[in-house]
Amino acid sequence: MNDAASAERRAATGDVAAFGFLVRQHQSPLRGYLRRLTRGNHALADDLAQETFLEAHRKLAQFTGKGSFSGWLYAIAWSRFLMETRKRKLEPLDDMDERIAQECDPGLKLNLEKALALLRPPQRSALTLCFALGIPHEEAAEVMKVPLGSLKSHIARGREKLKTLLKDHAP
Amino acid sequence: MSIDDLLNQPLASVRDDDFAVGAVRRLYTGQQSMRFIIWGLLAAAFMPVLAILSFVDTGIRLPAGSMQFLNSQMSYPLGFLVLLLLWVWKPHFSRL
Repeated sequence: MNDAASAERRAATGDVAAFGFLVRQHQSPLRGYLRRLTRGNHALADDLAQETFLEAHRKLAQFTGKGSFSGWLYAIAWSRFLMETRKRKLEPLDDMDERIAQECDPGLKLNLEKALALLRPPQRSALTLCFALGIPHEEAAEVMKVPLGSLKSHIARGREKLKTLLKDHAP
Repeated sequence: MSIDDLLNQPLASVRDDDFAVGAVRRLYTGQQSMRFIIWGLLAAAFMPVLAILSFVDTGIRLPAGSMQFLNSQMSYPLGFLVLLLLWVWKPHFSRL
């Protein structure tokens, strides 16, 4: 059994040191993912990341090992992000095209992060999971709790919007 | 650079900067609060029993010298002492 699997097992029995090991191991990609979702709001992303890890600790016994542990963490993080977005009304989850038109100054020069911030959260999440984090489509669909077809549609629409945004606002 | 190449770039690495320590601290604090609540509730649940015990004729024969401890001034602090010792030793025999 490798270190990570052993740490997951020990953390599930209440071993705080093992939990600390898991946090150190997964904090960077998880916080990076949440920073993308929160459009660069580092404080909120870190808050959500901590809540994600605490919830993961509470539910560790429920982790069956069917998917990857990191995928399971991203699923918790995504659901936390959605709850926070609804609670704080951070941004609409649908119909972002109008907002893009409002927020996107024609003279603005966009890089990838800025362009991603203009996409709908499910598109941002799907693109980050499947490209930057290299998670297979099937697993990403499970993370976001959407059918595989919907995930592929989020990816396709997100890519198209990004293409347009980056082309129209090229530095 | 194509859009896929851009998207395939890994996320920027995020330095820990005591993030893990903070998460562990929050976990530990949460666990301590939970223990405090559970043991507080247990203690509160035993209070009526302690109060009633003084009226129950258990037929237990106690040494003559021990009678001086059977009063509220002594029994309540002793009860709390027992709970405190259980709290201190608890990690040795239980997670809760």
